[in-house]
Amino acid sequence: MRTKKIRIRIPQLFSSLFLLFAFMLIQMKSHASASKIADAKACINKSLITKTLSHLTLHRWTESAQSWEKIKPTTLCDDNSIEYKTVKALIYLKKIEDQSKNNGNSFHSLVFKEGPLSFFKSRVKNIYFEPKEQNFCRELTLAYVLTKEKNAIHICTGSPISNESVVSISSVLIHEAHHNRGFLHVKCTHGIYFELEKLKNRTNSLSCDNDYESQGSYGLNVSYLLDILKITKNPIHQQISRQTAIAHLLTNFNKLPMGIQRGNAVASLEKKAVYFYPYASSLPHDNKKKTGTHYIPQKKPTPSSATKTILDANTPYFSQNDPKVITVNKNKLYFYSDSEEVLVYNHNTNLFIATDPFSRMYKSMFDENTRKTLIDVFYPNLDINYGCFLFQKSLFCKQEDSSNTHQIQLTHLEPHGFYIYKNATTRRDFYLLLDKSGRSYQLPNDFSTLSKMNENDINNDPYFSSKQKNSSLELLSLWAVSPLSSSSFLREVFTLPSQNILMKINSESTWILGLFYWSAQIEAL
Amino acid sequence: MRLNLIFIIIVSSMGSLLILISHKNSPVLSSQSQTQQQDRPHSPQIDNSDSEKNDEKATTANNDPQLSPLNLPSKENSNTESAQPTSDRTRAEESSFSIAVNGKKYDIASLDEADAERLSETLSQQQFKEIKTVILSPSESEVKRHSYLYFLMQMKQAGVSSLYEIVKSEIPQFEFQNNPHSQDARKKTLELSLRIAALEALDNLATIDPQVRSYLSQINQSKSVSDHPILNYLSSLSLASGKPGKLHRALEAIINEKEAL
Repeated sequence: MRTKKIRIRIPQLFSSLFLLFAFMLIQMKSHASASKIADAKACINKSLITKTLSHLTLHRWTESAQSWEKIKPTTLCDDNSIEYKTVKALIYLKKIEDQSKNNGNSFHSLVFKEGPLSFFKSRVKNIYFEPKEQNFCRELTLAYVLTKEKNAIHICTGSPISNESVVSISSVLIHEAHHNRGFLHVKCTHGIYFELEKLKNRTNSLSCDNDYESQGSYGLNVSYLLDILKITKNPIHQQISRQTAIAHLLTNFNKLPMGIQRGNAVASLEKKAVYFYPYASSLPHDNKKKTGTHYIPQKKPTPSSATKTILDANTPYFSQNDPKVITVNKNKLYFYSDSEEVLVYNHNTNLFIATDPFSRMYKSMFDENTRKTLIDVFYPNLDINYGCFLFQKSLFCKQEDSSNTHQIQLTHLEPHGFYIYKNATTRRDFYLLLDKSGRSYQLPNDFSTLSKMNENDINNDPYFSSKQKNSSLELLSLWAVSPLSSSSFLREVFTLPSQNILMKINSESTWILGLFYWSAQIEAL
Repeated sequence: MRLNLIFIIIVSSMGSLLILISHKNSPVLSSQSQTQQQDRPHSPQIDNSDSEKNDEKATTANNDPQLSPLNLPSKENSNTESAQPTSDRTRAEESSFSIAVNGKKYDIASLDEADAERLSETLSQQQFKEIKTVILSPSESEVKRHSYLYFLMQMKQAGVSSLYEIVKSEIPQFEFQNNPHSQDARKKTLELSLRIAALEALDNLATIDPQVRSYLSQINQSKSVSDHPILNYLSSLSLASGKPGKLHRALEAIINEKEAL
């Protein structure tokens, strides 16, 4: 019986196994279909591609054929690939273009005025996805344009942009597209790339726009992001576009927003004040110290040495009270001390001092009301044997190393300040007295000549009476607005020296490096 | 015959199980949790409906099956189930992330302050730490990092300590950050933007909570902040004037200045 049973079951077992494999085959096949459907989920909608990519051609380099092949966007299904993400970003441009048409906001950027996708397509006809080995794709370069080409951008496939948002990727496309209209970058004169260029001597590295207003590629990038901020209702996209725009504005433009200037803190020997001194970073060869012109050393002090220096000197800290703004020589300085002494610069010590006879005289000779009208001061130096205080209604000067003084009452002039100028030929300093209408008068270099002068001598001077183009004051104003635009002028300026020092925000805070940013506009907020 | 049938059923079930495992590991679905697979609507092709949907303020709980990168259990469950970030697929069109708290999923972009404050009460210190880790992780996506930061910012007082840690955390160095046109340089910008956002949030909170001012006063003591001129400057704005909220006003003024041109 057993044998029989076995004989009966063996064929049955084979037939069962056959059925089983047939069943599994069907299962496998259905799974394959399911996988296909699953894979297809990642592909980009054909109708969106049709609406978005007309008149745009995507190219991919094929290593085997050593040639470019056209990409069929409908075959892009790997949502981590750079090609896929680029197409999705283009679709995003289309989406926000459609949204912007029904949005009541007035848009600021040229991108939105033309329509984001229209803007891009009017500047780009071909997108080349370059292999990461390509020369221009080194160091994880994201994208670039070649000036000899027209209407093309190159995207490096080696860049892992999978982590970037669609807002950011689309802004890269806008940035590169704008380059096709001739907007190129310039060398940075501040920020991280300025430092890097100096350190690494990367003279060819063009990493900034001069200013936002010119709407170069960075400028347009920022205005695009600010328009995204208006149109999107998604708070995450709002946060990304806003904060990225702010980060760009503070790092990728040579002219900073809201009059922010980079400068150094300079301390008085009297340990009562810290000033802001604008940083003339735009000057060529500014790492070299020239005669008569001081450049702030780029090298940061080591924390230990700087701390020691400052703590030993008991450097003052910023008062929380509103600073009094004064101009010393041509520089606007921000007086943070309650001291009523005038602090003047001493060439020998490279410090502001208040204990020399000249500044001591200030306190003893002028009453409080007069002191409140102080506008400017200059100190004797090797070329000029006297120093002066400029008040709203008088010019008061004292000969160096003597008690001789001379005062000129200013009843007609509205003084603005002094400006120290170095004659390019003689290399001698001379002082200009500036008035508020933009005129300038050259003060004599010796005290004996000055002591014979009165206001009429200034007023009747032909140089002074005719307001000239590009007068010193205008240049001064220009410098104050944009220190980068007048570098040739600045080269002649005898600027105040300073040191890298540490400062405190308040009495409880730790010492921080004196090199810092400052803005009178923001201070006033 | 009966035995054959049973055998077939058993083996075919195993086959289905194998197929199911294989299916779970497929690239399309591997990043999603089991729950998400169930929730996610099946569509044959991805279109931009996700981004359109997410560009609107959506309802809160259980409405969006997007990704759940960080499963945040409630405090009560934290002893038995630690929050585990799951690997997630990042797509360019994603515009926010969801989090799971107490078994419910929440789209972060849709959380208002009240929601975020309520949720923050259920989070453990460990979970706050994990949120901070995600925000400070350069390997995480931009949207995810900003979403989690947004979540912290919406929490108000509960997020202060984490925001403070984020501001004073050292900005990482990237291999090619010196190439201004590189991905690494963009990463550097992202790192700065996250810290500015966190700093601004603290500055805003200081206007309503005096205790936050003590955090602000300590930020400059961080070497990473004091060594970064921009962060150093921005962090000093509130303190130098003694006016909390000044940083926010300054950043708004910067934007307004550009929009007015």
